[in-house]
Amino acid sequence: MSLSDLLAMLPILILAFGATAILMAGAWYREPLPLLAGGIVTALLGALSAGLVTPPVPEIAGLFSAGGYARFYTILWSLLAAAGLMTGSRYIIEKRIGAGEYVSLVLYAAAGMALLSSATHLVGLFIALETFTLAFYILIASNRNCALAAEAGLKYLLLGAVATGFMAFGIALIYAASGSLVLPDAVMRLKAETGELQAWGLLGWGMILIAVGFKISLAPFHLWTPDVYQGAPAPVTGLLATGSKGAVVAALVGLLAMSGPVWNDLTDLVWLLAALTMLAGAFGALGQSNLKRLLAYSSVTHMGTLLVGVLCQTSEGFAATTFYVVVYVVTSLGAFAVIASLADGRGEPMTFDQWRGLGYRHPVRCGVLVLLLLSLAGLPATAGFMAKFAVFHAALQSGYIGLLMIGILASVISFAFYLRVTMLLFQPDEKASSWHQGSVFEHTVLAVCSSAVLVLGLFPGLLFGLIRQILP
Amino acid sequence: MLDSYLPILTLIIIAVGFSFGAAILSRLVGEKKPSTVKLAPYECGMPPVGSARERFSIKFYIIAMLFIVFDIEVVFMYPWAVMFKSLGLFGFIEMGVFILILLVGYAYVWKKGALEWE
Amino acid sequence: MTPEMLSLSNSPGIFIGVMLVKILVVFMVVMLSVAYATWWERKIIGHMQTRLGPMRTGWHGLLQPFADGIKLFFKEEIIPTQATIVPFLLAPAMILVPALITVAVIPFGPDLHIGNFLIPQQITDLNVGVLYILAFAGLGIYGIVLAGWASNSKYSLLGGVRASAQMISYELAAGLTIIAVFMLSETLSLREIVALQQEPLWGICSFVPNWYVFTQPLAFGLFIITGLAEINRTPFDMPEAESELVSGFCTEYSSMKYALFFLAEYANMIVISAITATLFLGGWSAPLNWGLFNMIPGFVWLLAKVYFLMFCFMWLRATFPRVRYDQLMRMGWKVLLPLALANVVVTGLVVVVLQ
Repeated sequence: MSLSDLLAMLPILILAFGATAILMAGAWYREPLPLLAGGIVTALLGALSAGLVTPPVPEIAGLFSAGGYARFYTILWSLLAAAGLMTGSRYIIEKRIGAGEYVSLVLYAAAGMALLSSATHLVGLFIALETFTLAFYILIASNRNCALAAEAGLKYLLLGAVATGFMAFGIALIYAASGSLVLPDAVMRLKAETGELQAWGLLGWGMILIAVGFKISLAPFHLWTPDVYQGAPAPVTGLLATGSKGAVVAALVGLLAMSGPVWNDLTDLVWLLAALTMLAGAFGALGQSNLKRLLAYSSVTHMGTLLVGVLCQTSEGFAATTFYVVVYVVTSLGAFAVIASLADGRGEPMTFDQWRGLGYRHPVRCGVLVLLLLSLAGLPATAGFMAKFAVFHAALQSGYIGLLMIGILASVISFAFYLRVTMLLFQPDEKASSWHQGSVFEHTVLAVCSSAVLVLGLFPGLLFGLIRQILP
Repeated sequence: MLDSYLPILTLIIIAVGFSFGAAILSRLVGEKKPSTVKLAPYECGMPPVGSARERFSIKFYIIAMLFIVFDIEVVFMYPWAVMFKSLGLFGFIEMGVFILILLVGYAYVWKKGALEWE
Repeated sequence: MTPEMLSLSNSPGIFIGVMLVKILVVFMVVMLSVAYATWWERKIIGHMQTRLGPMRTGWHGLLQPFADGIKLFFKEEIIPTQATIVPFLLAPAMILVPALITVAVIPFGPDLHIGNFLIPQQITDLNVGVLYILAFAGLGIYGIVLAGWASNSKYSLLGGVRASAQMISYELAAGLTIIAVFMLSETLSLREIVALQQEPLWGICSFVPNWYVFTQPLAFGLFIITGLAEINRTPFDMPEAESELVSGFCTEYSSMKYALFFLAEYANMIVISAITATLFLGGWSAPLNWGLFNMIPGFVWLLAKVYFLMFCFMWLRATFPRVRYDQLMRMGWKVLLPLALANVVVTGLVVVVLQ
């Protein structure tokens, strides 16, 4: 590893060293606000350095890419970390969650996600995945006075461990079959191979697919999602729902765009996964009476839709998927930020009974929530619509008509439950109680998210142009 | 390979044979007069209270976790130590960075009170 | 015809024969040393406390170990009804076996030249000898934890848990300590480490051998302390503290199984002494490069060093009171560990500067 390698890794180094420094500082000074501010500054510095410093080498130590695609996601995840810290600022002070630990774990997670999105090597992929998953294991259970959070942490830990096992075995099998861990290389050699080894290699890819399925909660590996989302503190859920899933999808897109079609033999399987996931999410959400669980099922549906874009394996599909990831991250983070901003001594508003009539008590934030929910549903003029449209368009061009139909069906069903929440918010209810007014930080995040949803909905070309340039 | 490990295998077989042989033989020749009280767990002559399968201090778990973390880092240092003279200054600096990271974690654990036994 | 190293490929029959002879001799020496270490310890502590120790069985109690052994052998074996049977029965062996097989890599003399063959005076020379020792030393902990847990007695559980926490804490420091030795020796094979210690001290003084105790005095001291703690000897015998935990993890054991624990403790003491002697005190080599000394066979020197170290351990037991558990853990984590780490760094710095 040379100096130019280190320079190319600058954003990651800033995030990681900043996180370590804040962790250490937090052990000596318990004052949360300076630590949070330091964390936000570190995250913004990471984003800035990824945007401004041109990496001198295209690849870092043969493990991670330093190209435009990697830098794009590094910026996105750094900003996400900053947003996560801002959303969590009031929350962790009130719940007495260790500020040093929270800030540093969020930054470590962001570093892991950024590495994951830029992995070009199976070992790099594994390390990066573990980096942010480990951070999330702790973050989810960080509210130590809450039994639900402990349950959620344990569930995520156990399933995460299983997924890690699948990942490691899959990587081992691919290495055994192709003799390489470098991604384009491994795929090429696997394709050239026609004997028994190819079967082992495919089994390896299948296992990686299962691991990915656990991480981004594809049906039938999605059952942990609602419980974990419900138990975890809302700011953490916001990160978990967006970053941890988006980074895995980003890694998939990056790998496939680099190495060409791998999944010719697995296409049917992925097709089935995508269809199942969209339907499982949509139907699962229908019966929910808890907003966090509903958002969990909604994220399952969205992961299914994203998988459609990945499945296309065309540049159109990859661009659409990338756009979708950005939009989903912004929207979903905003929705959880609303929940976090309302949380007070009683906890977070979760059940529909608690939400009924809240639109009259907190009109601005409920209005934002409605906007975000409609974007998640895919209402025209919001970013969600453009994202869904792009993915379905790509699917149409690649000839996945059946999947397209299922996707549209799932979207229609989703409209039902998103509208149900919207109506609930503005039902007159005398008994509706007031929740917390929210802090400046939280309102900033909400403002940024809602305006991003509107801007991307009206002018999607801005982002699409950038994405087309950076796709590997 | 076999040259080096065959003796160890033989020694293991002898040692295991000795341990179990002695224990089994003594059971065969020893006295056998069991009674309920004799077979109860020892508690200073009082009837035992409750089961011993209880929870114990979390300190022990923390120590075990710290041990795993630090021990793995120590094991990383073995190959480095053996190659140390040929690696020269480069190896020293690399390991300096490694030990520095180790020390950061150590300082954190110390400050957080994971090493206290009060 | 130049002699060649005896191996499985050039004459399997002789190799296996020699191997069995070596194993049996070493095994017998260890077992006899263990037996007499018990007698010796009672004698030494007795005399240090102005008592006589065992006097009745044989001349000055010389037959005492056998009397003890026979008595324990014929005692009734008690397996508590609440115990978890399989681990309860396995535990004694799991402690004793690692202790007994660790001696396999200790060299006890120079290569013997018999016929056309060179026969190393060592059961086996592993190129990862030290790792082998550490690995098996770590396995011993399982036996103690299982013994404590499977007995289903509160004293045993506490003893087992305490023992495991203590042993892993000190194993860490021990592992770090000996890294400094490998930085100088550049090998993990004990045979080569001994060979290196026969060279002149610091390359100049040809009369004194280059024992690592001279170059690494701090590591030597740390290793002795951590070694004591790892084998649960006074002043670190918290796990079996007879006055508070009624022997800790072996409370529920009786008859030969109790004897196995006892054997394991002394076997461990011999093993730690042998490792210390090999790593720091030149193993089987003579303390001075002097004709008369060099004529004495290597195993005599090794045994002399081992017995000397064991005498020191017993002396410590007679002198020091038991430390408190929090003091013990604090010393392991907050004193020994940083010292060992600092020793590694300083050694590295000196070696780099000298180069």
